[in-house]
Amino acid sequence: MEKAGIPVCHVTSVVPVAKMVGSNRIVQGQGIVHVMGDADLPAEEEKELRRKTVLQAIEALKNEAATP
Amino acid sequence: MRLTLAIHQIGSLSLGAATLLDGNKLVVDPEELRLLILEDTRLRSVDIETVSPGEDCRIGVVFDILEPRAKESGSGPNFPGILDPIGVVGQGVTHVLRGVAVTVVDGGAGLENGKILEMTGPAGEASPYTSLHHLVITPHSAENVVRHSEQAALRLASVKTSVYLAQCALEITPHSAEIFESDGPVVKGRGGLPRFAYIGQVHSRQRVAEIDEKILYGDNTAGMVPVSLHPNEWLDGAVVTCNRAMGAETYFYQNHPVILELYRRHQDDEITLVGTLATMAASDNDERDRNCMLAAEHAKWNLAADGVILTKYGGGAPHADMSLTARRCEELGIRTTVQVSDMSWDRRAESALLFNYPVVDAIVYVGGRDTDWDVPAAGRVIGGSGELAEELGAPRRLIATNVCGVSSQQGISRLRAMVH
Repeated sequence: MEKAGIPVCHVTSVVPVAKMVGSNRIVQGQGIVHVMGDADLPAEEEKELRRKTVLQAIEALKNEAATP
Repeated sequence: MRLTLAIHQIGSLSLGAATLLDGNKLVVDPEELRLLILEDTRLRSVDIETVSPGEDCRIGVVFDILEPRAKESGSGPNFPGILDPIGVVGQGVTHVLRGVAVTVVDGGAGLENGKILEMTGPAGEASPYTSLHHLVITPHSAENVVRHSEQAALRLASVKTSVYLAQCALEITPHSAEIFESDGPVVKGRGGLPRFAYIGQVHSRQRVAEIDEKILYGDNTAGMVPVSLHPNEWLDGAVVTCNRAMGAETYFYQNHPVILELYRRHQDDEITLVGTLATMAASDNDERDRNCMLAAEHAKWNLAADGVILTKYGGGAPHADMSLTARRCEELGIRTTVQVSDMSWDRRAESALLFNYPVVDAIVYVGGRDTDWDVPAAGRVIGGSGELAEELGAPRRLIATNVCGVSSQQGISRLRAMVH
């Protein structure tokens, strides 16, 4: 998608693999079974965590990627 | 620690009126075994069948395969934390029925990505399990038993059957003895020999272990940090596979190819086997960084290893944990070799690996999903239910990662990868 001109941010719980495959905007997610959330948190706190993760990913998209 | 395996070589397996070992002939009383298995009220019935080496037979979905083994009285517990109370294994005398396997069928599992035992044909030829006599048990759970309880019942039935079979050999003189003895990291008098350790993953938290899932001394490994084990503990029932194991069976913990090869070289005075670490692949980045760091620190400062062999468990993500551990070891001056399965669907070399650390450059291939066989209808089928058996027995494509013993994370695979 980067090659087609669409900026991408990769939210992942396996950062080493994201780096290896060449993702250039990486945001650290939660666990493998729940990348965007955390089932152990109370609903309100989890919602806040999800919001933060998404906002961080959107923020990352503003950055110019070094090697698309 | 010293473990003696009393080996009883078995030449035939049949069902009969009493369970006994007559020379090299093993006879199993299915009624006595059935009563033992059905002591577990989570189960309502169990099918018990035998399958001969190389028979035109397809079996699935396989929950696990084990070698029948029983500890002599005073030698420690059988499968502690699952069958017997917690206690150290890896010492004393364990009787082994060599040439026999207990194969447990999981009737509650779907065929998709389920493990299959193919006893004949080109897929079968690639598996060491086809040369064994299999006692196949298919437990059926009682009504209203939830899935994880059903799986826990399968686990209990698997180890019960393994021990039950081998107990009939306890009073019989074995054909041979295999002795495994190592003083661990403090071993003396072996100066100048390179010191080797094994670091093996026993679970991957990409699937959350059930509360009653017994993997390491009965523990489900949730929140586990690297644990130091004597090599004998792997061989003697401390570790079993999880509820949904890919490319690993308890049989090859009991006959662990990496540990046995390290032992062979230890006994030949080529190397010193100083110990092992059991690890699990992490669920998140912090857990991964922490566990990989701790495993490397253990190998360096507690085992004083010069070299380590690493194996992974589960699917793709655990490659990250294994390779990062290897990288941390290399940074501490420990040479490493990792065993990987090919994760690509397209047979391209560049998509085969999930890591790229220049220092982690000794890589052994143990089979992957890029190999498959189109197989004809099976002459005989053992499935969890009539419906499953019908689907399983039809002509189908077998993918190497789904065939027991063909693509092996533990390292028993006979497949090789070549770039051309």
